[in-house]
Amino acid sequence: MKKYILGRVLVAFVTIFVVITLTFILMRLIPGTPFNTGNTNMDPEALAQLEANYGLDQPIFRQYLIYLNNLLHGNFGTSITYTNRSVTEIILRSFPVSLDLGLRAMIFGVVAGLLLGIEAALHHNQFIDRFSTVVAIVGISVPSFVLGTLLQLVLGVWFSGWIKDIFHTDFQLFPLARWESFRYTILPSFVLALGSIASITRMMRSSMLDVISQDYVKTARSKGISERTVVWKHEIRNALLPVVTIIGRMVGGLCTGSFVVENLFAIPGLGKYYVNSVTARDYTLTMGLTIFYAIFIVSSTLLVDIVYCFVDPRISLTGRRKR
Amino acid sequence: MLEIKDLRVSFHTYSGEVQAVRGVNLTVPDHDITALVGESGCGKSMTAQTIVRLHDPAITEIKSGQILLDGVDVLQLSDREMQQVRGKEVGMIFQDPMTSLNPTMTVGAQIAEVIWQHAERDAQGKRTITRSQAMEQAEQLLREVKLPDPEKRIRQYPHEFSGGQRQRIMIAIAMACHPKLLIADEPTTALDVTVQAQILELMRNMQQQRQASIIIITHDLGVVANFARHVSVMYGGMIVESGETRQIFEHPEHPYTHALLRAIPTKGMDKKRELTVIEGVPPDLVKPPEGCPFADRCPCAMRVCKAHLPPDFEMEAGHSCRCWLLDPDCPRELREKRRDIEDAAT
Repeated sequence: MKKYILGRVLVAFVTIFVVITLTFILMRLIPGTPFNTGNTNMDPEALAQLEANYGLDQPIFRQYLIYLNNLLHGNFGTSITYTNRSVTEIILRSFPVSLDLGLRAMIFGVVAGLLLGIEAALHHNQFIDRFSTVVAIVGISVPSFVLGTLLQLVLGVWFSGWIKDIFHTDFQLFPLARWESFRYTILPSFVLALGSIASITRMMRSSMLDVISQDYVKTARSKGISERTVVWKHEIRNALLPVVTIIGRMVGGLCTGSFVVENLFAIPGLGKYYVNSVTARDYTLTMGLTIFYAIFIVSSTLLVDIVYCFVDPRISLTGRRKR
Repeated sequence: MLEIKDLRVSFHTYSGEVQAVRGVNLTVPDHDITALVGESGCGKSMTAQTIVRLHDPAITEIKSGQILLDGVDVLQLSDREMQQVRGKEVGMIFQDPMTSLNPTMTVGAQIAEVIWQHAERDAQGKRTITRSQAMEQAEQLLREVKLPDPEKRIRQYPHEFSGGQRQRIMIAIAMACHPKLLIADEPTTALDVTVQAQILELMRNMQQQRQASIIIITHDLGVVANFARHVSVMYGGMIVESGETRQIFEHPEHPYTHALLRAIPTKGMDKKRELTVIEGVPPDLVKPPEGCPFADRCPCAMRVCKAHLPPDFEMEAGHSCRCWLLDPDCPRELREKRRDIEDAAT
């Protein structure tokens, strides 16, 4: 076990190193520089002076070594577009918001997805099952900006309007934008979660249907234990195994910020910075965020793999067969 | 102790209502082993599952009949009362030990689960044993089914056991609460021949020690011959012949039973000779034949066979058979024709 984790951590370091190098090369391959993204009227001399200030006049390989050296000292550098703000500071300020939104969406997605999937399987071919299919199709095929704006219109504008007409109050249950109290978080979390709800529902439903027809469920029933125990201990427990894997994969995607949802609801998360930094050729910010995401995703994957072997006794991490 | 009276069970499929069990009468005496024999799809598993109501209620319908377990009709019990019967009064073993155990629970937990469920309760409704006592009993059961190192193996998961070992664990689960009846649905079909014999031996020992009864469902007449005291042969959803094993093997009356016995390959058989088969296919139970279900494949079929279902004729005590050849009005030469067919085959 220890040996396995150590090995995985080593591989993680290599992965991250490859990510750093590739991102570095790719960023430099994009035409233009942070100060000249293609069409600038700036005085060439001033431009050269600016680039020299940021060390961009150095040979590429030397820039790379300097960057690596800085990284080793825990220094992600300063953002070029947001002058005087270090990359670390931007991450520390915005990531908690993205993480908050992501975790809310995660909880939303897991709870709703599992419940819907289980109910659908237990009532196979009945109303709830067909309903879950509709949810899944909508969740997978409708993009979040369509659903998000639709919900803003229906719940944020129309619904608030009715409330105002009836109760003569300005209270908004589903505010259109910003990230303040709990009610501000409901719509964006739901919009972000919908894709996960859909895939978890589908996965849980089919996994559950598969387990229900297994012989060991019949064995469990033949013992005379209550139906509730059969469903929870024998069916759901086993049906969860494959679903845990996809839930694990979602953590990275959900918690690192979504450009669309954050923009739609004016949430001060990381997503906006990431997309903007690329268009602005903000080398340091793009690099910093990419490395941060890579570390986050690599470690969450590792965590899921470790958790998985506690959930499923048939899997041993060492690859050796247990006797 | 167990009496099945005129049981009729159907299940609904896209192609229509399959009448899987069409009027089965079966009596299973105390402290004895009864075999239910027949080919795939003849309704034998369905009959057995209905005894503990393990059929899928969404598609299965019990049309009529009674299943009396010590005088109580299990078909009339509530779901909660049924739970008291399953595991406690009737234990079950299934065909494939590789898939019959929950892969994410230790075998100890799976045995202890049934002990815990049916543990005695005091006046306040609290169980008189603790979970760890249930676990100790589970360990004792593993010892009884002759699994080596029970103290260690009780904490292991099913994938760490072989097929034969898993079937032993299934027997431990089924026998944990000292049921009066054990239903074994093809318990040896998925096992190696050498392991088969060990499992049957174990089942018989447990049955004798515990004074229980066994219903064994199988299509293997070799298993029946050495194991069961009584045999009921099923065909097309009904029992066509039943009697003591000796009677069935020595004086089979039904042409189907004959054909089955002839189809057993024997040791030292001429290798060039083809295996004996029963020509034709079993009847479609969506539209079951009006007459004898075997009439289409029967070499001695008469006109009456296709039109009318034969009643049960009792030849000697305990041995009965559904065949028009046994009707007192049946012409003698027809009965002799059957003998000729037999003689020609042997």
